[in-house]
Amino acid sequence: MTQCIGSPAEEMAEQYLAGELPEAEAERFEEHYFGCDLCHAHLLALQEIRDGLARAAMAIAAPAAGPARIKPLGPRQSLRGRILAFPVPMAVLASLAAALLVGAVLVGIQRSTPVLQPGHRAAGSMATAKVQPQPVESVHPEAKGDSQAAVKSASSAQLAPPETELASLADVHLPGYQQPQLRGEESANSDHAQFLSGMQAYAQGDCGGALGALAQVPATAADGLAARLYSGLCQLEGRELEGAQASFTAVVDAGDTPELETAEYFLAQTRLLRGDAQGAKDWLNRTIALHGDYEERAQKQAGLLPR
Amino acid sequence: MSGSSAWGAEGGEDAALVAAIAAGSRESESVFVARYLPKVRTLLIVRSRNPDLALDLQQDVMIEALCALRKGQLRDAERLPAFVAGIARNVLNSHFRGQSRLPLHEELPEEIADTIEENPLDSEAAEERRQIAQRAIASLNDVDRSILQMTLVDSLKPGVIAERLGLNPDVVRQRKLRATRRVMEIVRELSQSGNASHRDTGGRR
Repeated sequence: MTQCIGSPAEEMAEQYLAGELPEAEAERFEEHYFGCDLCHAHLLALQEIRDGLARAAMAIAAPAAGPARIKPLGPRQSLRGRILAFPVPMAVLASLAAALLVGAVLVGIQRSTPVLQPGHRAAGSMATAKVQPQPVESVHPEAKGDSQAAVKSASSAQLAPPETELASLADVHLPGYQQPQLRGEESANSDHAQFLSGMQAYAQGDCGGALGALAQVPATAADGLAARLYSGLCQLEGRELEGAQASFTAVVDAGDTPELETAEYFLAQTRLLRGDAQGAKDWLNRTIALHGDYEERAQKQAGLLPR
Repeated sequence: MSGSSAWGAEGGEDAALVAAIAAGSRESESVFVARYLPKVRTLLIVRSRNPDLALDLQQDVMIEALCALRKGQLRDAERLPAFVAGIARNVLNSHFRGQSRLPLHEELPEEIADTIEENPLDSEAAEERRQIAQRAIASLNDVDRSILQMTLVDSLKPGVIAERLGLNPDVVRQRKLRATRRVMEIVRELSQSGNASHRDTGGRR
């Protein structure tokens, strides 16, 4: 019997399999998994995954010279690359699935976005409410389980989407915020306190309160960039598009920061709300090129924009 | 200190097993082999990176361990996992040094020898594990799969992977962590749904 919950294997299996654990650590881990079926199972599974990856190794293309976001990979190009990277059956499957793709994309965008608060409205419905009232079913086809409505909606978006339809594509679900749990000393200055106060309001869905507190955080403070990002998100929520755009642009201009991807993605959303398809596409492509958390959402959304 | 005790494994069952083997119980020897052979094989494969060699040497390890247990040479039964692992490492090291450690005069009961000689790579369980791993891998998108491939197969560090993929190293670390968790979760779910529980891997009852 063992009381182990598998954490030794989670911590060490990868290094152990790679032969990178120091000998003493490797011996200690071996002595553990010889008596622990759970960790041994984890090890076997990881070993099997590694062997499976080695058996069907993908060709990994080196990126073009320069930072990826300077030469973004468009969604269409990315999809082609993805299909070619797999053997023929995957390509066949992909083509068979093409007819369903548009509907799936719509459903995916609506479902995959994290929500700040349960009460927050869906992206499409928010945009629709402010820009163009539309029947609920055209914005939330999955709510009725009607895939035909989704395909129809997507088709019309691809043919000639007027400004208002572009706005209805915008994803304005605000990303969640979780206070980082840092070990060691925590910054105790007033700027940080203002930031935390703002983020507390943000986490509670109080964008007005968040904006007030975040505005007090100087741009040069440690939390300055994050404050700018979340201010932009709150401005977006309140449809202060000029302000949101300025906030996101400031974050982007700061370069390669943890906030970069979010800022680029939501810059695309401000462009959509303004009916600027090309601008939205440009920012979505830059988001995609970062290959981060928003990549999949950005790809789906870019696929819905007019060519 | 034994890793087992440090990480919370218990050795009560091992104490009974060690005592029974020392008392001449052939049934307990079979239990011992079922429990430790998969782990010995894993250790030998990881350390030698040669599955064929691991299959050759696993029998030597089990024979040497059983001989010692029959003679009552293991005083602290709770150290059985460490004891067997140590023998496996020693057998492998001796192989690489060109020395034989085999107690050739010792014989194993036929059913135990059959268990050891059976090629586990052809076994149903191994095939099932392979298929589950393939399904888990297929669930990954291209970027995550590339990151895992470069991590697990090519042993590259996140910084190097980031450079090759044109990504931020933090993004690579995050995606690697998530992808690993995702595939392991899928493996766990599929294993459970296929009645292949964790306990099957080691044969511990």
